[in-house]
Amino acid sequence: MAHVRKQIRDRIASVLASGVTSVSSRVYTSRVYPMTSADLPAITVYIGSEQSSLITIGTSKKLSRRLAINIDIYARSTSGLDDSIDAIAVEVEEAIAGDFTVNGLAKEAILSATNIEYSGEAEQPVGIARLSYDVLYHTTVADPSTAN
Amino acid sequence: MALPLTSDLAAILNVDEFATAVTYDGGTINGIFDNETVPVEAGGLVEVHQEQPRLTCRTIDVPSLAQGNTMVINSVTYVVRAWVHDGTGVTEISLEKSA
Repeated sequence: MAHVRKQIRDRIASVLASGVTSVSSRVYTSRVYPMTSADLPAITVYIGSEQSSLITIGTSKKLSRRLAINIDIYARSTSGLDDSIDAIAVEVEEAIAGDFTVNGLAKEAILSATNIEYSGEAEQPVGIARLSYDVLYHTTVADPSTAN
Repeated sequence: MALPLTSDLAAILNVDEFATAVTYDGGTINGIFDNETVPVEAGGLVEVHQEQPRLTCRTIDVPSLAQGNTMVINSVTYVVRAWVHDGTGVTEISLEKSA
């Protein structure tokens, strides 16, 4: 069975694909290849980092894991680009809040930071908003594929 | 001996050579249109590849250039966003593709 981390990433991508209608299901996990204007607006979901610590000892050692997931919103527009970005962010935040425990895989999924940048160096302005989420979940040391 | 820049420009900016006719400010000027694909970085994990439309023309042909001016090139409307005069009579204009 897949690592809980992958299950969380896939679940979040699925929730965004169905819940963020303004990107028309253009939600990609761990995409590394460039996008074009025709691909926008779009969302990418990928794992940033993970910190873990032991929270129980004994025969069933349990890990508390804090996973950083980045949700990048890509949009382009010749006017109102910041409005477009924020409108998509509303949909993303509402979708994640509606699945606060990530379908029972996690204890919580909390928005920890939002960073927005713009570029006007090509044919139409592009804006990218990064929504950083902290996702807390537990597994045993011996079984990282099952959420506890 | 002075460089024949004016005549060179006239030859280069000829539509039978390298130039394209541009509808601008109620008339037509000639310029070299580049629309290279470039990677755009704005903080995301992946780049966005976009065309970067630019027009190189004679400075004397665009004396009242202003942000928001429109240019029609190859039947596509572009909006003037920025420009650089190189000081030798040539201007490079950065364009935005109209929505």
